[in-house]
Amino acid sequence: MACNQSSENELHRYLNRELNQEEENQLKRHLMECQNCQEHYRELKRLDGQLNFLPEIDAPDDLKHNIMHQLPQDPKVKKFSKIVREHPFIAAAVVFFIAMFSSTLTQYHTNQQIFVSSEEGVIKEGNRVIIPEGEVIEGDFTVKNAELVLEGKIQGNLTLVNSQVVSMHEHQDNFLNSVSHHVGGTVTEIDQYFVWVYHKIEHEFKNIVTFVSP
Amino acid sequence: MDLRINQLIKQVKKGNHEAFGLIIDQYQHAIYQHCYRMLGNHHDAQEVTQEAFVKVYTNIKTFKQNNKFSPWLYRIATNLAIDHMRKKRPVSILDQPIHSNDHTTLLDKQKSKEQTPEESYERLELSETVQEALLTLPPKYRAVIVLKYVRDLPLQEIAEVLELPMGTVKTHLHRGREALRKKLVEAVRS
Repeated sequence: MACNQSSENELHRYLNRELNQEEENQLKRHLMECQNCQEHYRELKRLDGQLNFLPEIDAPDDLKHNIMHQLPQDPKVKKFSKIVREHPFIAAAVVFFIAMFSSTLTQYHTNQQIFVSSEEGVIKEGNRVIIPEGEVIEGDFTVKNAELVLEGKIQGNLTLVNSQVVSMHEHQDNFLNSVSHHVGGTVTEIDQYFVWVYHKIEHEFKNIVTFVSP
Repeated sequence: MDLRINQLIKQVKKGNHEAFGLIIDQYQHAIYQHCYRMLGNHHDAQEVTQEAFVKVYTNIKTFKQNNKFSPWLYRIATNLAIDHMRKKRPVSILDQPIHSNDHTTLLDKQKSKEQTPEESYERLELSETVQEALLTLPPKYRAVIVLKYVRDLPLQEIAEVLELPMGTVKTHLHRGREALRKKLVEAVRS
Protein backbone atom coordinates (compact mmCIF):
# COMPACT_ATOMS: atom_id res chain seq x y z
CA MET A 1 0.00 0.00 0.00
CA ALA A 2 1.31 3.40 -0.93
CA CYS A 3 1.66 6.07 1.75
CA ASN A 4 -0.79 8.57 0.45
CA GLN A 5 -4.31 9.77 0.95
CA SER A 6 -5.66 6.24 0.64
CA SER A 7 -3.73 4.97 3.65
CA GLU A 8 -4.89 7.95 5.68
CA ASN A 9 -8.45 7.06 4.71
CA GLU A 10 -7.84 3.51 5.82
CA LEU A 11 -6.66 4.77 9.21
CA HIS A 12 -9.82 6.74 9.71
CA ARG A 13 -11.98 3.87 8.56
CA TYR A 14 -10.12 1.72 11.04
CA LEU A 15 -10.96 4.16 13.84
CA ASN A 16 -14.60 4.11 12.72
CA ARG A 17 -14.44 0.28 12.84
CA GLU A 18 -15.38 0.11 9.22
CA LEU A 19 -12.61 -2.22 8.06
CA ASN A 20 -13.22 -5.89 7.54
CA GLN A 21 -10.67 -8.45 8.74
CA GLU A 22 -8.85 -8.61 5.44
CA GLU A 23 -8.53 -4.79 5.16
CA GLU A 24 -7.41 -4.55 8.76
CA ASN A 25 -4.69 -7.12 8.27
CA GLN A 26 -3.54 -5.31 5.19
CA LEU A 27 -3.36 -2.01 7.09
CA LYS A 28 -1.42 -3.62 9.94
CA ARG A 29 1.09 -5.13 7.55
CA HIS A 30 1.58 -1.71 6.01
CA LEU A 31 2.05 -0.04 9.41
CA MET A 32 4.77 -2.57 10.28
CA GLU A 33 6.71 -1.46 7.24
CA CYS A 34 6.03 2.28 7.10
CA GLN A 35 7.40 4.56 9.80
CA ASN A 36 5.39 7.61 8.71
CA CYS A 37 2.07 5.84 8.72
CA GLN A 38 2.86 4.23 12.03
CA GLU A 39 3.49 7.66 13.56
CA HIS A 40 0.31 8.97 11.99
CA TYR A 41 -1.59 6.01 13.35
CA ARG A 42 -0.21 6.52 16.85
CA GLU A 43 -1.15 10.19 16.89
CA LEU A 44 -4.66 9.46 15.71
CA LYS A 45 -5.08 6.66 18.21
CA ARG A 46 -3.90 8.98 20.97
CA LEU A 47 -6.33 11.67 19.87
CA ASP A 48 -9.12 9.11 19.77
CA GLY A 49 -8.36 8.18 23.39
CA GLN A 50 -8.13 11.80 24.51
CA LEU A 51 -11.47 12.66 22.95
CA ASN A 52 -13.09 9.58 24.43
CA PHE A 53 -11.85 10.43 27.89
CA LEU A 54 -12.74 14.08 28.06
CA PRO A 55 -14.05 14.53 31.61
CA GLU A 56 -17.76 14.95 32.22
CA ILE A 57 -18.75 18.53 32.90
CA ASP A 58 -21.33 19.14 35.60
CA ALA A 59 -24.31 21.17 34.50
CA PRO A 60 -25.12 24.10 36.80
CA ASP A 61 -27.75 23.37 39.45
CA ASP A 62 -30.06 26.18 38.42
CA LEU A 63 -30.18 25.12 34.77
CA LYS A 64 -33.61 23.50 34.94
CA HIS A 65 -34.99 26.26 37.11
CA ASN A 66 -33.83 28.90 34.62
CA ILE A 67 -35.30 27.03 31.67
CA MET A 68 -38.66 26.60 33.38
CA HIS A 69 -38.75 30.33 34.08
CA GLN A 70 -38.04 31.20 30.47
CA LEU A 71 -40.86 29.08 29.08
CA PRO A 72 -43.49 31.24 27.43
CA GLN A 73 -47.02 31.14 28.74
CA ASP A 74 -49.53 29.84 26.23
CA PRO A 75 -51.18 32.71 24.41
CA LYS A 76 -55.00 32.80 24.48
CA VAL A 77 -55.36 31.89 20.82
CA LYS A 78 -53.34 28.78 21.37
CA LYS A 79 -55.50 27.88 24.34
CA PHE A 80 -58.61 28.16 22.20
CA SER A 81 -57.24 25.86 19.51
CA LYS A 82 -56.12 23.49 22.25
CA ILE A 83 -59.62 23.36 23.68
CA VAL A 84 -61.07 22.64 20.25
CA ARG A 85 -58.63 19.81 19.76
CA GLU A 86 -59.13 18.30 23.17
CA HIS A 87 -62.89 18.65 23.53
CA PRO A 88 -64.39 18.49 20.04
CA PHE A 89 -67.93 17.81 21.29
CA ILE A 90 -67.99 20.68 23.72
CA ALA A 91 -66.49 22.91 21.06
CA ALA A 92 -69.18 21.84 18.59
CA ALA A 93 -71.87 22.57 21.18
CA VAL A 94 -70.38 26.00 21.83
CA VAL A 95 -70.30 26.77 18.12
CA PHE A 96 -73.91 25.61 17.82
CA PHE A 97 -75.03 27.88 20.65
CA ILE A 98 -73.13 30.82 19.23
CA ALA A 99 -74.85 30.26 15.89
CA MET A 100 -78.24 30.00 17.56
CA PHE A 101 -77.60 33.04 19.69
CA SER A 102 -76.55 35.13 16.73
CA SER A 103 -79.49 33.97 14.65
CA THR A 104 -81.97 34.95 17.35
CA LEU A 105 -80.08 38.22 17.73
CA THR A 106 -80.38 39.01 14.03
CA GLN A 107 -84.00 37.94 14.10
CA TYR A 108 -84.54 40.30 17.00
CA HIS A 109 -82.85 43.18 15.26
CA THR A 110 -84.17 42.73 11.74
CA ASN A 111 -87.72 42.32 12.95
CA GLN A 112 -88.01 45.90 13.99
CA GLN A 113 -91.00 46.27 11.72
CA ILE A 114 -94.48 45.68 12.98
CA PHE A 115 -95.53 42.12 13.30
CA VAL A 116 -98.89 40.68 14.27
CA SER A 117 -99.59 37.03 14.61
CA SER A 118 -102.94 37.24 12.88
CA GLU A 119 -104.01 39.78 10.32
CA GLU A 120 -107.72 38.99 10.43
CA GLY A 121 -109.85 41.82 11.65
CA VAL A 122 -106.79 43.86 12.59
CA ILE A 123 -106.12 47.36 11.33
CA LYS A 124 -102.55 48.63 10.93
CA GLU A 125 -102.02 52.38 11.03
CA GLY A 126 -98.42 53.55 11.02
CA ASN A 127 -96.92 52.05 14.13
CA ARG A 128 -100.32 51.30 15.58
CA VAL A 129 -102.18 48.04 15.52
CA ILE A 130 -105.84 48.43 16.17
CA ILE A 131 -108.25 45.72 17.16
CA PRO A 132 -111.55 47.51 16.57
CA GLU A 133 -114.51 47.32 18.87
CA GLY A 134 -116.66 44.24 18.41
CA GLU A 135 -113.76 42.23 16.88
CA VAL A 136 -112.95 38.98 18.65
CA ILE A 137 -109.66 37.20 18.04
CA GLU A 138 -109.85 33.53 18.73
CA GLY A 139 -106.69 32.07 20.20
CA ASP A 140 -103.37 33.76 21.08
CA PHE A 141 -102.18 37.07 19.71
CA THR A 142 -98.66 38.41 19.40
CA VAL A 143 -97.63 41.95 18.54
CA LYS A 144 -94.09 43.12 17.86
CA ASN A 145 -92.74 46.67 17.67
CA ALA A 146 -96.06 48.39 17.74
CA GLU A 147 -98.58 50.20 19.86
CA LEU A 148 -101.67 48.13 20.34
CA VAL A 149 -105.02 49.79 20.55
CA LEU A 150 -107.22 47.23 22.13
CA GLU A 151 -110.93 47.80 21.73
CA GLY A 152 -112.02 44.35 20.67
CA LYS A 153 -111.31 41.11 22.49
CA ILE A 154 -108.64 38.47 22.51
CA GLN A 155 -109.72 35.07 23.74
CA GLY A 156 -106.24 33.58 24.20
CA ASN A 157 -102.98 34.98 25.59
CA LEU A 158 -101.58 38.31 24.50
CA THR A 159 -97.84 38.64 23.99
CA LEU A 160 -96.37 42.11 23.56
CA VAL A 161 -92.83 42.21 22.17
CA ASN A 162 -91.32 45.69 22.29
CA SER A 163 -94.88 46.82 22.27
CA GLN A 164 -97.34 48.42 24.56
CA VAL A 165 -101.06 48.77 24.86
CA VAL A 166 -102.37 52.30 24.42
CA SER A 167 -105.85 53.55 24.80
CA MET A 168 -107.96 55.59 22.42
CA HIS A 169 -109.79 57.04 25.38
CA GLU A 170 -107.12 59.18 26.92
CA HIS A 171 -108.35 59.43 30.45
CA GLN A 172 -108.79 55.88 31.47
CA ASP A 173 -107.94 55.43 35.14
CA ASN A 174 -107.64 51.73 35.65
CA PHE A 175 -105.92 51.06 32.41
CA LEU A 176 -104.42 47.69 33.25
CA ASN A 177 -107.72 46.43 34.51
CA SER A 178 -109.28 47.40 31.27
CA VAL A 179 -106.60 45.49 29.34
CA SER A 180 -107.27 42.33 31.28
CA HIS A 181 -110.91 42.96 30.59
CA HIS A 182 -110.20 42.66 26.85
CA VAL A 183 -107.92 39.65 27.02
CA GLY A 184 -109.19 36.20 27.86
CA GLY A 185 -105.77 34.67 28.72
CA THR A 186 -102.65 36.19 30.28
CA VAL A 187 -100.73 39.21 29.06
CA THR A 188 -96.96 38.88 28.66
CA GLU A 189 -94.79 41.90 27.97
CA ILE A 190 -91.32 41.35 26.55
CA ASP A 191 -89.10 44.25 25.78
CA GLN A 192 -85.66 42.98 26.54
CA TYR A 193 -83.66 40.74 24.36
CA PHE A 194 -82.85 38.08 26.89
CA VAL A 195 -86.38 37.89 28.14
CA TRP A 196 -87.45 37.49 24.58
CA VAL A 197 -84.93 34.67 24.05
CA TYR A 198 -86.10 33.04 27.25
CA HIS A 199 -89.66 33.34 26.13
CA LYS A 200 -88.79 31.83 22.77
CA ILE A 201 -86.98 28.90 24.33
CA GLU A 202 -89.85 28.33 26.75
CA HIS A 203 -92.25 28.41 23.85
CA GLU A 204 -90.17 25.94 21.79
CA PHE A 205 -89.81 23.71 24.81
CA LYS A 206 -93.54 23.63 25.37
CA ASN A 207 -94.00 22.82 21.71
CA ILE A 208 -91.62 19.89 21.99
CA VAL A 209 -93.34 18.65 25.14
CA THR A 210 -96.76 18.79 23.50
CA PHE A 211 -95.34 17.12 20.43
CA VAL A 212 -93.78 14.29 22.45
CA SER A 213 -96.71 13.77 24.80
CA PRO A 214 -99.91 15.00 23.16
CA MET B 1 -37.46 5.10 27.38
CA ASP B 2 -38.61 6.33 23.98
CA LEU B 3 -42.15 5.43 24.96
CA ARG B 4 -41.90 7.39 28.16
CA ILE B 5 -40.47 10.42 26.35
CA ASN B 6 -43.26 10.17 23.78
CA GLN B 7 -45.87 10.22 26.52
CA LEU B 8 -44.22 13.22 28.14
CA ILE B 9 -44.19 15.03 24.80
CA LYS B 10 -47.91 14.39 24.43
CA GLN B 11 -48.41 15.96 27.85
CA VAL B 12 -46.25 18.94 26.92
CA LYS B 13 -48.29 19.45 23.75
CA LYS B 14 -51.34 19.72 25.99
CA GLY B 15 -49.56 22.51 27.86
CA ASN B 16 -48.24 20.53 30.81
CA HIS B 17 -45.18 22.37 32.15
CA GLU B 18 -44.33 19.66 34.65
CA ALA B 19 -43.98 17.05 31.93
CA PHE B 20 -41.50 19.37 30.26
CA GLY B 21 -39.61 19.55 33.54
CA LEU B 22 -39.21 15.76 33.38
CA ILE B 23 -37.89 15.99 29.83
CA ILE B 24 -35.35 18.56 31.02
CA ASP B 25 -34.30 16.18 33.81
CA GLN B 26 -33.73 13.49 31.23
CA TYR B 27 -31.59 15.49 28.79
CA GLN B 28 -30.13 18.56 30.48
CA HIS B 29 -26.87 16.89 31.43
CA ALA B 30 -26.26 15.48 27.94
CA ILE B 31 -27.17 18.72 26.19
CA TYR B 32 -25.01 20.70 28.57
CA GLN B 33 -22.03 18.43 27.83
CA HIS B 34 -22.64 18.85 24.14
CA CYS B 35 -22.89 22.64 24.36
CA TYR B 36 -19.89 22.92 26.64
CA ARG B 37 -17.69 20.97 24.24
CA MET B 38 -19.02 22.93 21.29
CA LEU B 39 -18.49 26.32 22.94
CA GLY B 40 -15.74 25.75 25.46
CA ASN B 41 -17.02 27.68 28.46
CA HIS B 42 -19.74 27.48 31.08
CA HIS B 43 -21.31 30.81 30.36
CA ASP B 44 -22.05 30.13 26.70
CA ALA B 45 -22.91 26.49 27.36
CA GLN B 46 -25.53 27.51 29.90
CA GLU B 47 -26.99 30.17 27.67
CA VAL B 48 -27.28 27.89 24.65
CA THR B 49 -28.60 24.93 26.66
CA GLN B 50 -31.36 27.11 28.08
CA GLU B 51 -32.12 28.58 24.70
CA ALA B 52 -32.29 25.10 23.16
CA PHE B 53 -34.80 23.79 25.70
CA VAL B 54 -36.96 26.87 25.39
CA LYS B 55 -36.90 26.44 21.61
CA VAL B 56 -37.87 22.79 21.98
CA TYR B 57 -40.79 23.83 24.13
CA THR B 58 -42.05 26.53 21.81
CA ASN B 59 -41.69 24.27 18.77
CA ILE B 60 -42.96 21.07 20.35
CA LYS B 61 -46.08 21.19 18.15
CA THR B 62 -43.93 20.85 15.04
CA PHE B 63 -42.27 17.73 16.41
CA LYS B 64 -43.78 14.64 14.81
CA GLN B 65 -44.40 11.93 17.31
CA ASN B 66 -43.16 9.08 15.11
CA ASN B 67 -39.70 10.64 14.82
CA LYS B 68 -37.05 10.15 17.46
CA PHE B 69 -36.86 12.95 19.96
CA SER B 70 -33.18 13.06 20.81
CA PRO B 71 -31.82 13.73 17.27
CA TRP B 72 -34.28 16.60 17.04
CA LEU B 73 -33.15 17.97 20.38
CA TYR B 74 -29.46 17.65 19.44
CA ARG B 75 -30.13 19.31 16.11
CA ILE B 76 -31.71 22.32 17.79
CA ALA B 77 -28.88 22.54 20.34
CA THR B 78 -26.19 22.16 17.67
CA ASN B 79 -27.66 24.79 15.38
CA LEU B 80 -28.05 27.24 18.24
CA ALA B 81 -24.48 26.57 19.34
CA ILE B 82 -23.20 27.22 15.82
CA ASP B 83 -25.24 30.45 15.59
CA HIS B 84 -23.89 31.46 18.96
CA MET B 85 -20.29 30.90 17.82
CA ARG B 86 -20.84 33.03 14.75
CA LYS B 87 -22.29 35.86 16.79
CA LYS B 88 -19.79 35.79 19.62
CA ARG B 89 -16.76 34.17 18.12
CA PRO B 90 -14.06 36.68 19.19
CA VAL B 91 -15.42 36.87 22.73
CA SER B 92 -15.56 33.09 23.08
CA ILE B 93 -11.88 32.81 22.29
CA LEU B 94 -10.92 35.62 24.64
CA ASP B 95 -12.94 33.88 27.34
CA GLN B 96 -10.69 30.88 27.26
CA PRO B 97 -8.37 30.37 30.21
CA ILE B 98 -4.72 30.99 29.42
CA HIS B 99 -2.48 27.95 29.64
CA SER B 100 1.15 27.55 30.37
CA ASN B 101 2.52 25.29 27.70
CA ASP B 102 5.09 23.54 29.81
CA HIS B 103 3.79 20.00 29.50
CA THR B 104 6.10 17.25 28.38
CA THR B 105 4.77 14.27 26.51
CA LEU B 106 1.33 14.17 27.97
CA LEU B 107 0.36 11.01 26.17
CA ASP B 108 2.73 8.99 28.34
CA LYS B 109 0.91 10.12 31.44
CA GLN B 110 -2.35 8.95 30.03
CA LYS B 111 -1.17 5.39 29.83
CA SER B 112 -0.43 5.02 33.53
CA LYS B 113 -3.34 3.53 35.44
CA GLU B 114 -3.09 5.01 38.90
CA GLN B 115 -3.07 8.77 39.04
CA THR B 116 -1.15 10.91 41.45
CA PRO B 117 -2.56 14.40 42.07
CA GLU B 118 0.00 15.84 39.66
CA GLU B 119 -1.01 13.35 37.04
CA SER B 120 -4.70 14.04 37.39
CA TYR B 121 -3.87 17.73 37.18
CA GLU B 122 -1.98 17.12 33.97
CA ARG B 123 -4.77 14.96 32.71
CA LEU B 124 -7.12 17.87 33.27
CA GLU B 125 -4.73 20.19 31.54
CA LEU B 126 -4.50 17.82 28.62
CA SER B 127 -8.24 17.76 28.29
CA GLU B 128 -8.17 21.54 28.26
CA THR B 129 -5.64 21.41 25.46
CA VAL B 130 -7.95 19.11 23.55
CA GLN B 131 -10.85 21.44 24.25
CA GLU B 132 -8.85 24.41 22.97
CA ALA B 133 -7.98 22.53 19.83
CA LEU B 134 -11.64 21.65 19.40
CA LEU B 135 -12.55 25.33 19.48
CA THR B 136 -10.29 26.04 16.53
CA LEU B 137 -12.21 23.61 14.31
CA PRO B 138 -14.81 24.87 11.86
CA PRO B 139 -18.26 24.49 13.48
CA LYS B 140 -19.41 21.66 11.18
CA TYR B 141 -16.36 19.52 11.97
CA ARG B 142 -16.62 20.37 15.63
CA ALA B 143 -20.24 19.27 15.76
CA VAL B 144 -19.40 15.89 14.24
CA ILE B 145 -16.44 15.33 16.56
CA VAL B 146 -18.41 16.29 19.68
CA LEU B 147 -21.39 14.14 18.75
CA LYS B 148 -19.12 11.20 17.98
CA TYR B 149 -16.82 11.36 21.01
CA VAL B 150 -18.55 13.28 23.76
CA ARG B 151 -22.06 12.00 23.06
CA ASP B 152 -20.88 8.67 21.71
CA LEU B 153 -23.46 8.66 18.92
CA PRO B 154 -23.18 6.19 16.04
CA LEU B 155 -22.35 7.82 12.69
CA GLN B 156 -25.82 7.05 11.37
CA GLU B 157 -27.38 9.07 14.18
CA ILE B 158 -24.94 11.94 13.68
CA ALA B 159 -26.07 12.09 10.05
CA GLU B 160 -29.66 12.26 11.31
CA VAL B 161 -28.90 15.02 13.81
CA LEU B 162 -27.02 17.19 11.35
CA GLU B 163 -29.24 16.27 8.40
CA LEU B 164 -26.16 15.47 6.36
CA PRO B 165 -25.48 12.48 4.13
CA MET B 166 -23.39 9.75 5.71
CA GLY B 167 -20.47 10.45 3.35
CA THR B 168 -20.32 14.09 4.43
CA VAL B 169 -20.36 13.11 8.10
CA LYS B 170 -17.41 10.78 7.51
CA THR B 171 -15.51 13.45 5.60
CA HIS B 172 -16.09 15.96 8.41
CA LEU B 173 -15.02 13.42 10.97
CA HIS B 174 -11.80 12.59 9.11
CA ARG B 175 -10.89 16.22 8.49
CA GLY B 176 -11.78 17.15 12.04
CA ARG B 177 -9.58 14.39 13.41
CA GLU B 178 -6.69 15.36 11.15
CA ALA B 179 -6.94 19.01 12.14
CA LEU B 180 -7.04 18.09 15.83
CA ARG B 181 -4.14 15.69 15.45
CA LYS B 182 -1.99 18.42 13.91
CA LYS B 183 -2.96 20.92 16.63
CA LEU B 184 -2.09 18.49 19.40
CA VAL B 185 1.20 17.52 17.83
CA GLU B 186 2.05 21.23 17.66
CA ALA B 187 0.97 21.73 21.25
CA VAL B 188 3.15 18.88 22.44
CA ARG B 189 6.16 20.15 20.50
CA SER B 190 5.90 23.72 21.69
